[in-house]
Amino acid sequence: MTVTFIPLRSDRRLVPRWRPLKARASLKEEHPLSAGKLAPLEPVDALEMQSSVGAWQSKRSLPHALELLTSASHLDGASDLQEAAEYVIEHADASLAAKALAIGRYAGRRELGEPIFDPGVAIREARARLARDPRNAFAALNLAHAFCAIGKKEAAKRAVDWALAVAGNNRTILRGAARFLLHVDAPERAHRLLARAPSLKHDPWLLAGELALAEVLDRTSSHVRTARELAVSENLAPFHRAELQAALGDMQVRRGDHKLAKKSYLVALRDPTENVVAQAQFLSATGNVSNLPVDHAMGALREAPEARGFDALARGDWAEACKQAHRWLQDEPFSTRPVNLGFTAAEVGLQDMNAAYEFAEKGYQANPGKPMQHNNLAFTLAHLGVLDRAEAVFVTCRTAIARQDGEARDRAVYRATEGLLAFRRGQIDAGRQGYGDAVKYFEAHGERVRRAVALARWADEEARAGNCEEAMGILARSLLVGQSDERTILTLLLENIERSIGVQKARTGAPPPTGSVIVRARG
Amino acid sequence: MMRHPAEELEGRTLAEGYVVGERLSITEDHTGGGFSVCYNASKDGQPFFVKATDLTFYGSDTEDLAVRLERALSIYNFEKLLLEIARLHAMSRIVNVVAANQIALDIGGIPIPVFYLVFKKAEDNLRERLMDDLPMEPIDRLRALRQVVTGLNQLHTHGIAHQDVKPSNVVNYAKQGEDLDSKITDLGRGSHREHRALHDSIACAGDKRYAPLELLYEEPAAGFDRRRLGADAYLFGSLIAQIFSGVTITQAVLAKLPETHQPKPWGDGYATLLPRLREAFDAVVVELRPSWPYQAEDPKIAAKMELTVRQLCDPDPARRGYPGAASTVNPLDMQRYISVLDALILQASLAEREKARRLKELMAAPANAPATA
Repeated sequence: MTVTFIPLRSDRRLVPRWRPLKARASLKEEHPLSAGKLAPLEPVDALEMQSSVGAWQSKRSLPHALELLTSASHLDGASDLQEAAEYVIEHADASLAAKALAIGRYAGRRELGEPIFDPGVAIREARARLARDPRNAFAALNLAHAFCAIGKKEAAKRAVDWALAVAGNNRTILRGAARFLLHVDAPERAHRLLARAPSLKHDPWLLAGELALAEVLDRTSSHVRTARELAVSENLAPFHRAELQAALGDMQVRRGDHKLAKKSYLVALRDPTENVVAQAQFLSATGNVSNLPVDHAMGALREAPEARGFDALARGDWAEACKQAHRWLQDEPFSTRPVNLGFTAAEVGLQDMNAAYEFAEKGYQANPGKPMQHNNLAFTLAHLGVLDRAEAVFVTCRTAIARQDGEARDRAVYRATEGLLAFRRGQIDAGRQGYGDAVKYFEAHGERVRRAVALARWADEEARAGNCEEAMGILARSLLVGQSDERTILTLLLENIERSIGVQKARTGAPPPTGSVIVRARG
Repeated sequence: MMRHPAEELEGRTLAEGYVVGERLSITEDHTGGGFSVCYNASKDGQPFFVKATDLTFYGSDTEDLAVRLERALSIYNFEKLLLEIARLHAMSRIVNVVAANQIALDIGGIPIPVFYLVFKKAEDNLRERLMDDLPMEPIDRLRALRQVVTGLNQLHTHGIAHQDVKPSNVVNYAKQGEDLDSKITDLGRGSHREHRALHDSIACAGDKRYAPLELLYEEPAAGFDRRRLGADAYLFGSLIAQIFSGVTITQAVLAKLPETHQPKPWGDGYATLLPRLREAFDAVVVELRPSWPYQAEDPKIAAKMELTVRQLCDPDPARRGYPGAASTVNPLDMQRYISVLDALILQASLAEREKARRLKELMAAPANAPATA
């Protein structure tokens, strides 16, 4: 027992996503609300451009190709432009800037491989950009994002403040900053930031964020009427309104109006963001809103790591769930939710403690000082036999226990991990004490699932210590507590542990358990 | 198709004695000009260049004749006014007009006036030099740029913004083998601080392919200086980039933007776009680094050129120019950039010497000498 994944998503709000901003790839929220125009060339300029095209057609040379690229905006899509771009890319004498322009105009339109997010590289790049141009707000926001990935919240805060000072009215900056503030447990400030944005009443993305953050604060936004009007505005493309519709739907769910919430979600899912799909999936899974076309909406999106990850988890496709969790971490490396998803899929599904360790390590790196992340990492390290580091990492949890910091239910989890560490050091009594305290707490507070997991992990440790009889007894208690008609992550975990105990028993020479204890317990 | 009277000048002799020769194709048009026809001309064996226009180029046949005439005259007179100011102030780096007059052509029994401007014919222009890949040493490019910025400074000093600085509007009067003698031509898209032009209401008066980003997105800055002199500063910075790398800042930046942020789909205002533009512009400036000359001989030249382009082409028109002057003197004062070019030319000449010395040493070294010697 040790991890926070049960239940994996006890609550979920439609708060803004905060992804690193990349060149040539815009986030959906960055799309313009209204269309612009490109004024045509004056006749004499058009003639000059035609002469450039003619010159290129009659004589293929680098200067002719470059001149054609100079007219790229007004020749967009022309085959000559594509040929000229290819010519420049291949030409040995073309400058780096010329090749970059050609790639942007030609190769940039094709799918480019996405680089793996590396916080160190991202920090170096963003710092260099800011050194060259301190008014580069996107570089400041990317810097904050990368700092969050390695848990440097103070440095991230300075970078967010920098971005806000430079471009405090920009939608992407505002949403990113709000998400950051939520990450550092300042939901009040996050809400205020969006609520005071000058363009709030005309911007569905900011309104959606404001509504969601008001819900986080258990308040109702004072802009609901405006939100309702904007959510049905025909002047905005459906995908611009999707998050706003969904945010209204969430509000209706919390008020108990499930019928209206479903209506909102059906509209939102017509052209949704991946955040909306993930929220719809969550609401469907929790039974708040039923029969939403989540699978269809998810299939239409190129990227939907959260929704696809949980979908894979539900299907038992552990490898896919891990892959999607990694993908999600590329976007939000500071978040513990993709860590929990990947950890669960790796530890319970794949039974691959090394993979689970990778996720736990990421959660720990991004959230140093958060006892639960220390706890999760210590758990994996203990299982991998790296006891010294596990102990070092677990110090934060011991301090939380001693000072009674945080929630009592979390401290009970740490006590269980304390038991695990004691067992692994061979201190059986201390181990039993730790697990016993955790089980008592969960029993007293009616936390059935956590109690079942704690008992199962305890049983596993008893078996590893060679106490198979005790292990069988504790496992039976666990199965009794955790029995369910549905196949859940918990039943899977119990099966794994039951199997593990069987292996331990075989090693110690005792006869293996006959049949499934789960079946017997259920029976 | 009806021919315009201005297209009928070939073979005629103008009042000042200029004999109009062949009509030029657009690539030979050394002054540009939106609605005009260009010809070669000669007088006393000297080559000249005629730019002619008439009212039929302005508006449709159904439009009121008086309105069309007024518009034609207004445009012609405005360019003539700017050229006159340039001539009166002896602007050495602006192509001066040698004659400005009119000739009445009898079309179907009706005399229709054709207005013309006569200029001394240039040898070539920068666009032709770039297109023909004519050899131009980096120091010569810097000298040409110095002449262009001097021309801009001359215009700006007298309240004129050119607004269409591009390679085809930088002409050269020097013969082959001589030092470049570059001048800025085509004041047809210019604006004057005190005299209003018809095209002043258009967001982008100049060639949109080269236009400053804010004009391409149809959101010019407020005020004559920031809007028009700032546009000239940008165009000059972009010309520096183009002359050394082959690409304009505008197209290089646009190529770095997502599809949704291109001028056509983007309708959310320039201020909203600015963070993206800054990011793209910074990447472009970094990519320009290998294009700067004399990196081996004097890396400071490249650093100075990068800084100059960064200041002149800042995507935010309110921050364009020399930042240190923002609260004191005019940050868009081109005199500063004349000094920068002067310093660069001096550094370049020293770098040329260093290059020559290294070459000499290399030539003098025995062929079988060890590489480490």
